[in-house]
Amino acid sequence: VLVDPILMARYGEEYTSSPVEIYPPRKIDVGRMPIPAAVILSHEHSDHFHLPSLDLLDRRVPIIVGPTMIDRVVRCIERLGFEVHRLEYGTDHRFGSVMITLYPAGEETVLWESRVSQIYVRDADDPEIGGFYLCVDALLSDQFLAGIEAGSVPAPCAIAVSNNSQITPAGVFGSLDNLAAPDGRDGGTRSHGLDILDGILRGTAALNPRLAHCHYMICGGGFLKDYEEMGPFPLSEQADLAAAAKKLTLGIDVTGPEPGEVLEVDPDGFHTLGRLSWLETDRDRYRSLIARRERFMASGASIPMRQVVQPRADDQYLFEVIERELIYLGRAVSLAPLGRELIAAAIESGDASRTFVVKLLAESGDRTYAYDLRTSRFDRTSDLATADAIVTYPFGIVGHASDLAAVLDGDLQIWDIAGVGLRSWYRGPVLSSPVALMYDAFGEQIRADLACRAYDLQLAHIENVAKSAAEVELA
Amino acid sequence: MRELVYIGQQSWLVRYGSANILVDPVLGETFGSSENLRFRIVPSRSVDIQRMPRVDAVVLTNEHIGHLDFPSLNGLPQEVPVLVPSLTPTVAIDAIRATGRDVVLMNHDSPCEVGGAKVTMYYGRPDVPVWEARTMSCLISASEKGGIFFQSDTAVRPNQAQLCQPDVFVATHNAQIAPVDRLTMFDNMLPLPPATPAEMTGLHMLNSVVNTSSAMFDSVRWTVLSGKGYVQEPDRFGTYLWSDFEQLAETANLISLGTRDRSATGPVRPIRAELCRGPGLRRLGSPHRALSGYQRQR
Repeated sequence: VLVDPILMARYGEEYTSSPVEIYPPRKIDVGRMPIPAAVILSHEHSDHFHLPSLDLLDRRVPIIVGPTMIDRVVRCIERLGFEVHRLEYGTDHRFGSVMITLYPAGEETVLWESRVSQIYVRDADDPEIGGFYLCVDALLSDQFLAGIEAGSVPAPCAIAVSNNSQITPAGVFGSLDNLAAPDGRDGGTRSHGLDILDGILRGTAALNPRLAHCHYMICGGGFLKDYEEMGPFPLSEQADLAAAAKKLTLGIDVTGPEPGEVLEVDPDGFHTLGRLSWLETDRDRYRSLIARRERFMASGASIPMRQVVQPRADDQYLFEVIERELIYLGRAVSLAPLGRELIAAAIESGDASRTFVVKLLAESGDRTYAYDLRTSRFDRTSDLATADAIVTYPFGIVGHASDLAAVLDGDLQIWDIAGVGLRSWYRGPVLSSPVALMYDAFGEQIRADLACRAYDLQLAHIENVAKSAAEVELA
Repeated sequence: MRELVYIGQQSWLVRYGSANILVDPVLGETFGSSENLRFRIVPSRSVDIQRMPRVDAVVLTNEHIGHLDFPSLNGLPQEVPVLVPSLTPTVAIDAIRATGRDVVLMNHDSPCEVGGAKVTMYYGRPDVPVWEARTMSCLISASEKGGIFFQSDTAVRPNQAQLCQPDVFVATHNAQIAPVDRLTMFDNMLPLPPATPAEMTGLHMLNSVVNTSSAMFDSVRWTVLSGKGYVQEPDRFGTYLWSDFEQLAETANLISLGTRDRSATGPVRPIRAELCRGPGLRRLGSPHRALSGYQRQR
């Protein structure tokens, strides 16, 4: 059974000039891959759902999704000629020798990951024995925990948790960093790795005493964002984190598997059975990417904010798109945790029109839009330099008009520009930040209409390639 | 010039400029109130007090036996003053004065000059356990910014960073984590699951020690692990789990990232967040010079 297959070196080539590279880099010979009994898609985010990868598979392979997968994804897959099956949560299904049971994400999961279906994998011939549980990008399912507590499902032998922390070094502005904080974030010397491990391992094990004895796989974070100069995120080598975790835990095994490694898990821990012949780490590329990061960090260089895409149209069109969507964003702000922070800020300052600002950079001149709490609207105001805007408004966003318009037009996704081409400043917790609001408001779970355009571009790309191949054959 | 020398347990010699200051000196091989129950310093070491440099002052962060050790105080010249928290129990103050020493009562955030260095002590968070509520943290510095901050056995107040900007933070790890089948002081005899699963105690402990207090200070460049450097005699079960500080520091460094050096006027320069203990402290900016009065035996 294949889960969330990305079978190419990169994804996103069909719709952006800066596609995302999978990390660690791999060499994959899909032609030698065995035909899977099924493909399971946990959710629709672009690092999990990739139509060009699915296009490489035999059309007889059933594609499995959970109840919360958005309809448009299902239709896109069906258009490729696959049969898609929606499984109910908590029901057992056999695919070849594997028993699959899907569960909803934990209730405290952030909104933009709340559609994730988690996957419990067991031996179909022996389902009473605990298998391994894939949390994917979400917190462990409350429904799964209730099942363990009630004895209706065996506790897992191993749990895969995700380290998607995207830690950035000094000089690199992370997606959720804060322009108003010194160096982009609060706090002094921290061991980010300890924070990560404590969160994903102890945070999961503490949910239920039966989970404390499980072994843990650290996965996730498996791509390079568009920080070309830096290369991979620090602390995204899961094997290093697992090695540290093993020194700080008792009686359990922790592993950070590498591409192509074949693992078996039993009550004693993980055992490497071998390596796949059709999938392996691209070691030269891996070494060179790590060396690039080391050089970058030693140099003390920083990465300035940049324009992710060149504008498809003139500035007037871009601002028309943006101003149309700012009406939606204004309403979303008032419903989000950010809205409460803005009310608190207005009470403190006594000014309801100076709480949140959007500053957009453009060839024809920058524009600034201020949010008015009394109308829940953004109004254009006299343009401010970013430094002045940060002093004047407690919350704000700055980015290139072309990038934001590309997101609002569906040419890019919000994840593509956050940090790299769009930055925010805020007070209070990170989940009340303007970028977190944008993840919620423009992610696939709310704006499937925008996400669909990326899917359409992938489908168009696949169909164009097929058409060209047919024409070549005909010629 | 400044130098930080680890003596053992929570004892340190700080050399700041021309000042030599001892913090919580326990200089013998063991300490304790009774001959029938001693606490042996680990890793074991010997201290030759005669060859130790002149001491300008002793700082005691609290009056507990791992910090106030009369045999150690008595080994020092009588004219060395002892700085103690203002809320130190009178019985302890009287006992120190009875040895013929001056006792200086230190108020919260009220510095004292010692041989050209500045010693400032701070009370911790009011919600620490009552038996540690009189404990003070201590900052030894030369100017308004920088300095070495000894957390001692208390929790740092949330607003502490407004009062001082240390660049070295000596964090306390006093967790007494026994093997799973042994009960220690706070373990529950009832078979109830603990809030932190036993499997994850080490991870939780190290994250708390490294990321709770020192992370409050943007100024901190180095975190140094200190604390719980003894075993009980007669022996109960040897050393506690996760009490090898060098291994803990090595593990934390493996998964730590550079911090930010805001003192530099040029571009932001990442430096590695170092967590280290005694002998590794030659990163403090001046050449490390081992004091001949201290020998460490492993």
